[in-house]
Amino acid sequence: MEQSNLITYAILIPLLPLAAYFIQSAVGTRLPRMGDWVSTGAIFLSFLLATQIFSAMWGAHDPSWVVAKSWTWVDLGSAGLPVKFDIGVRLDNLSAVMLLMVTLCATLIHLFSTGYMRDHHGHPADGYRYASFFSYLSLFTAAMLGLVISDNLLTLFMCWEVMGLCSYLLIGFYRHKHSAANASIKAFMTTRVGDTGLFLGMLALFALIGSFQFEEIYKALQDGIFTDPKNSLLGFSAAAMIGFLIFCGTVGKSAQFPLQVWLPDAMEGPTPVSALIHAATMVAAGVYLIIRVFPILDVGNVLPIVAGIGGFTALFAAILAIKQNDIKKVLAYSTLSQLGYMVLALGVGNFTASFFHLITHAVFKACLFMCSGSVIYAMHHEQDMRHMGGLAKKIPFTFWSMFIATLAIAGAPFFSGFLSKDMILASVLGYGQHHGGLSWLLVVSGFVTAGLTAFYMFRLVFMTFFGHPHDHHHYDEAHEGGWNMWFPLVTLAGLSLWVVYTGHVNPFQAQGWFTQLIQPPKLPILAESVKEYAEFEHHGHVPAMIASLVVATLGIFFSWLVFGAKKIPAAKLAGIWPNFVHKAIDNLYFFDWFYIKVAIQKGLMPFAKFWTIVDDKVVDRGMVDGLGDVANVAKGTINLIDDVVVDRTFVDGFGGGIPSALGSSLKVLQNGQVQRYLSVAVVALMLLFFFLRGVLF
Amino acid sequence: MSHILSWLTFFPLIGAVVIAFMPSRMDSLVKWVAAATMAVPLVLAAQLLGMFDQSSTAFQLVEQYDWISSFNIQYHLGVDGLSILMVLLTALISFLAIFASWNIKKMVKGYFIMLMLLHVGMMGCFLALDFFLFFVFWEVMLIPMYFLIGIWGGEKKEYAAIKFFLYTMFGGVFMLIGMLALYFFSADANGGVSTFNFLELAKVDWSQFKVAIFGSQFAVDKLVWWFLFLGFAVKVPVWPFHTWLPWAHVQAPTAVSIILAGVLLKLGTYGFLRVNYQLLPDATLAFKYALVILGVIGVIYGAFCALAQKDLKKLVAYSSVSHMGYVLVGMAVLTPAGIQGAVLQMFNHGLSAAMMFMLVGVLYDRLHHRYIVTPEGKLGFGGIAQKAPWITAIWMVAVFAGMGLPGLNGFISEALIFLGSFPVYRTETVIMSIGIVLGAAYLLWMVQRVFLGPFTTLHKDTSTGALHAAHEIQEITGRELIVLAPLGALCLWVGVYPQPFINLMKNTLNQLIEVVK
Repeated sequence: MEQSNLITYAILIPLLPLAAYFIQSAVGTRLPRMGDWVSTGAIFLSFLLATQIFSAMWGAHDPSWVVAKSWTWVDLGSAGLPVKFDIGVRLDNLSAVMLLMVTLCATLIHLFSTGYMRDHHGHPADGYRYASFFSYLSLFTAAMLGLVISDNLLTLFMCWEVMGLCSYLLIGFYRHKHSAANASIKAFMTTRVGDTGLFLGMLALFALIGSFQFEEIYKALQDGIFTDPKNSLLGFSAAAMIGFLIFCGTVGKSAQFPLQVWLPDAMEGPTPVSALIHAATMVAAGVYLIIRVFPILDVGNVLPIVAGIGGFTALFAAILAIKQNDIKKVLAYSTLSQLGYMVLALGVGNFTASFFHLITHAVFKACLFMCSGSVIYAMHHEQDMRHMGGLAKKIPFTFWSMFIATLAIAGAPFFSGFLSKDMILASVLGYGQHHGGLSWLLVVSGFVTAGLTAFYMFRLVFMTFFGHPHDHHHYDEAHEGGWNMWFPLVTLAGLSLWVVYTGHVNPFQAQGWFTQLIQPPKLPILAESVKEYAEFEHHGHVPAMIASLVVATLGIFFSWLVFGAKKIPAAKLAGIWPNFVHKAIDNLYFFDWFYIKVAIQKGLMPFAKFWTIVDDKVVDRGMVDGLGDVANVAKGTINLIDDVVVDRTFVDGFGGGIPSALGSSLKVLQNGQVQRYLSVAVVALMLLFFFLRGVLF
Repeated sequence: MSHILSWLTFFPLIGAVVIAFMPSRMDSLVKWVAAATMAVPLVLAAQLLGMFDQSSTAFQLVEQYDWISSFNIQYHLGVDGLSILMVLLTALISFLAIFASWNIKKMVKGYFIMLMLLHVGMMGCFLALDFFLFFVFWEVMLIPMYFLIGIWGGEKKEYAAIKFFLYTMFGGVFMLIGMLALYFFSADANGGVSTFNFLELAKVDWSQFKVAIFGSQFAVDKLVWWFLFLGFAVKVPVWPFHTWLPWAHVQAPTAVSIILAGVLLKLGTYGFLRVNYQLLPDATLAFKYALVILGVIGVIYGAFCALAQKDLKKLVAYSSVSHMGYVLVGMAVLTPAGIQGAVLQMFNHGLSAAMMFMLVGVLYDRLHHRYIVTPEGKLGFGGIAQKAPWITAIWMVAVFAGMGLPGLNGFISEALIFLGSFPVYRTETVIMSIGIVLGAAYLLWMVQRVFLGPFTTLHKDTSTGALHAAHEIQEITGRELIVLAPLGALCLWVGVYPQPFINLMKNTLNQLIEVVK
């Protein structure tokens, strides 16, 4: 296909949902069905265009396939060096795959929403806000797709922030709930902290190379500009500093430690939002960002930090997931944990595996969330798993889809998660063997997390779908939604099969079209390290696969023992852990407590209040008293002139010149003494200056 | 049209005279006359835009006549890339302010006459090329402003008006001294003829002049720079001269707040660029770091103060202090991105702050109070989104424009300022970036308490002053939309495609950097 066509398609892909956003905002409530078909149709068209781009990429079958075009967005002219910002579209294998995944998930989630956001009689559940919901979804999708096609950090960042806005609006969608409002502001502010780091990184980057474009960044890396000692920042190389700052953005957006606190609360949003934004796309955008700037991270030696944060988050979140009873909270913590895996994968240098897991996770996690949505819908908005049970017979499509997606996330063979997770674990194991020492902690974290994931995900399945119903009223009424609700689930479950990502029948062999096409950028400066990273995966491959199968099986088995067959009472399992462990988990390791109760309520707010008092009592008072002194001096010096000259000419003259209607009321104000003296002071200083000029100068 | 700049400045006087002679029972007609009058400068401004040559860095459409020839004072107007955006902003905001004033009941004629005089002062300031003329316009602004706050203001209007007047007068005195010093010294450099002409003054080499005060030698330009600085700093307002601003805003009627935040504050930063930068480049280069420090303090300090405010309008007022701090930093770093970002930020803040003050007025008109937190410690608003989704949606646009969300105007100007300042003052820029986080914090926290959650909004009974629960809130009206829609549309336009706005100013500003450096 012609390249210019591809570029046009790429631009249309985000513009279609954007247009839908504007239509929905303006006239959504007046359209038939409140315009849900406008948003859904727009994203479906984008999906069709994305398949075109994907097939062009597929046809080229070249890991370094790129179609790009850029324009000047802002040109500041020049004073010395010219300053301008070029923005453009970059289609390569990463963005083509990403576009397909995002448009597909988004289309299915839009479709699902047309059922979920209505009540059981088919009426929009939130009145006119049904239209707003779709308008926000469209704006979000447009931003996400804009981010994917960006060839530069500037438009990427702009879309990134707009996604943050949509996330804020959608988390707070149930406006009457205080908890939703709290969660939305928390999400925006937490990610904003990370974004500020990213923004500073971009400033440093622009100061260094005068461009935001990925091509220019890669070129400058190759030219050694990032490693030149004279460009170092605070004693670190430019690559290290910029890489680290950009990674801060990922920590916020992908909810990595220590900014993970917002994602579980984000579940206050409607479930399709959790599926789209807080599982499949936006949170994955953070990982997409570091995949894009992987060369900077590598050259700057930031990868060990990335690995550490990712590995820690993976385990830390998996532990929290075990004790959750809210079905969406379990999924939220598992998302955190899986995002940790992706970050960990990149940290140990496995570019391909990181992106692989991003894609497979997006598909099965979107499926899991929508299944949970389907369960919640069936249970009339009951989210507590302790009130569920035995739903498998009632909602079979949901059950089977969720079962498949759970197998995928647990890393069972024949499913996509097995392939991507196995690649990650192989690399981590190889990394641990090679570096030894503390890096073994990453290995432990990787495998323990894998086991825990299988355990808590099957706990979810057993509690929800097996056993006896705990709430007969809801159970009896539970039923599957319409086709628009089950079709997306079944489709995504189908896409969780291994063969989709490899193209061959061997379920244990991850190598396939995906791994061939997704390769790190071919930069000579990276060649050495990329080869080394490939070694890790190669070395770790067989033992990692065996070990991961063992831990996954153990996880599923224990889960069955406790929650399926109930051979071990859950309370007994809980009892073997000391109290402080429970306390830590119940309080989410005290992070929320620290940030909100200590840092904000005890730190920031009193600080802000202190400054308002200073403003009032010190700055204001000081200035006013100072001015008063000026006025007094003026008064003392020129009392005489005041009476004779100014009072007559200025005040009376002016007072006579304005309409008498105003005059009478103005008189009251004019009786204020101070301003008169000040006007006197002006005249006096003028005169004084005329005299002094002769004397002094 | 010849003399377009004079028409642009003085046309409202014609309307003011007409209104003055109208019988006072025709109050509603007065409003329409005012609107029609103020539409003329807006049309003229659009026409001016067509006539303006973007590629030139010289003053255009110049009008120059002797005014008081014995002192070599001239009537001298002109427009260049620095002032064009401000002229457009002034014409727009002045026009919209009429519609924001539709609810004025007290002395309607006087009020609109004052608004028109205010326009003359503001527009004149942006166009004057003679320092004396500039000063006259500067002082002309003061008087209508004083009365607008003092007569049509809130409960403590007298205090606020006097405070505003005192502060500005205090600054004015110093500006006057600085101006006269330049005037007299220019004689020595200009063949014995003193001048107030900005272009002539800019040519003078000030480094030759020294002045002895109490036996020590001072460079005249350095001394004068600080005098002028004080004059403009009060207007911006630069920390610590800002404390008049929250008072003036809280007490001023809605339209006056709109003009105050939308245009008046920009006169301060405009003054820095027009006078301090162009006339005294050496001193500017010497003292630019002071601007950076004061700017960064303004950004952070304003944000912290905004965070703790319990009055909605005060919160917006302190956010102005914070946002104008960015302007100072941008202009002080002397890079194309910084200085263009600064002027664009002036324009952008004019749009978004005007919007926000209008929206505060919208809520005040309906509920008669502005308490985010009442004196009793209860929330004054809450859940407005439930009852008035359109008001909420427009608030969101203003809020997100204010906090610099990409796609809206605040982002591009703040990003330019940061990009411009980072290579020059790295540490200061990093500190300033705290303002990004705080900016989002105080605005979103306000949104949460005012608009989200269950509907708990209170209504103040105007006769008894008691607060009780409100039942309904009237949605946005057509008149309010007339004010808000153009501002919102411009916010979006600048945010998405800022290049046309940058084209207007980039050549002039880049040359200004060369002058200073």
